[in-house]
Amino acid sequence: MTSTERLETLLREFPGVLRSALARRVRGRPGLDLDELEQEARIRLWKALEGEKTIEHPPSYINRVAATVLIDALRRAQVRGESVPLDQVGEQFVSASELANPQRRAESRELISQIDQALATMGTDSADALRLYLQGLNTTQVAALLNWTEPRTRNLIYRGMERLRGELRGMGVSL
Amino acid sequence: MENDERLREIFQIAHDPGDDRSTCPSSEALARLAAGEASAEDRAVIARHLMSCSACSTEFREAAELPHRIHKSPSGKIRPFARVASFALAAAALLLLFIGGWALSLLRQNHDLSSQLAQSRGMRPVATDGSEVEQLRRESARQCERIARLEAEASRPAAPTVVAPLPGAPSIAASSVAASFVNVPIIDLDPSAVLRGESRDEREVAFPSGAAMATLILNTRVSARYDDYSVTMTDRSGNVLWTSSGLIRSPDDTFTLMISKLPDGHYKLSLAGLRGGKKVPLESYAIRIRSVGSARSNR
Repeated sequence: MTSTERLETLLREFPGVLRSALARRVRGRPGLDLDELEQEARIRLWKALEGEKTIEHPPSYINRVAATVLIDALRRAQVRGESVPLDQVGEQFVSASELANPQRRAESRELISQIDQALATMGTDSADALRLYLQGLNTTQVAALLNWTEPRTRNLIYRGMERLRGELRGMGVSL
Repeated sequence: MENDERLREIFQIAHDPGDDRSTCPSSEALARLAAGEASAEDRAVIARHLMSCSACSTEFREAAELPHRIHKSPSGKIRPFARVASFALAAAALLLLFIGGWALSLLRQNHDLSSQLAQSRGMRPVATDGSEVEQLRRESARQCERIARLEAEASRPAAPTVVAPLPGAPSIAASSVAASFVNVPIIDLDPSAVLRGESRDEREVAFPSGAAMATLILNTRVSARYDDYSVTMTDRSGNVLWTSSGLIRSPDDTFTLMISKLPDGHYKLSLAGLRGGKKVPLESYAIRIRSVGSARSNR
């Protein structure tokens, strides 16, 4: 069986998964083209099969290829300046204009320094969980990264955020 | 909660690495982590990095939020390679049965023929000791065994002979060569008019079922001559799939090359001239590769 036939068999076994997996992340995002990503993912799968690679668990492998392609596309889009995911919170692009404002930028810089100070007063576990949470990860993702249970992580983040807000209020930061 | 969002937003902007991603983990490493397949050591290292890199955190989140529960098609109850293996076993068993049955019928036929021969010869009585008949029977049995052995050898898969691959093409086992070289499409390509990265003159290269190769004829309008010519194939994202030099320009200003079948999609071939160590882009050809069901249905 040639690599092309193996690819076709693999994709027939898991119909539409690449496209549907990517479609959810690409929809409405500037700089990301679904057809382009799907083709790139197919080529990567084909190359893996061409190299006689044995795919132990096809669903996770397809998923990982889709994830790799998506990350690469995000990186390319960012380099081209077509997509600024960091400024995209919810459905609004909020921060680009703020960053252009020197006064707001200085305020943000001061605030981040205060956040860092507050985090430094906490235990390592709480500070690590909070840093990941502040980077936008949810409690399940933080738990998986730190190899903790989700309830423990949720609890640490909940109490940590309470404390962080209190520390910042103590520093005169109004939130 | 709103305050949390505000804090998160500021935290992420402050930890934006900008264009310097030199210390960031590879996309493959992030994807592996998002799929829960990273080692404990890698997980700890990357988690530490994510705490201070909002770009990687965003990418990790995007990858982690891809749907992880991927299901098989309802019809695909057996894994493809297992299905192929079971088909091969069944085919081998059928072949053995067929050869065995055939050998038996030949034995019986030979036995009958030798009996008839013996009888016809005897208008005279068959040798009383039956030695002649017995000898014929043994001979026919030997012949049948030989036929069966030759059949078995012929049905055994030959050691795969590898055909030299084309640039970027997969190696092809000799057993699949016959199938690979039938229904080979031949496509005449004119240079594309490229407008803002999108080609207006995309040409479809349809691969009928069983075809693994296509012959492309590249036409050029460039009159200048070069020492050598090269062609590069890229995918839609501009990733180079393969490049090859040594193309010969025909008197009709065409170049011929054979490509292996690639996954369906849009590709670009770029022709360049080489002179004095410099590479001059000459033409580009936009193609769309498409698999079609069967040669017959494609009419």
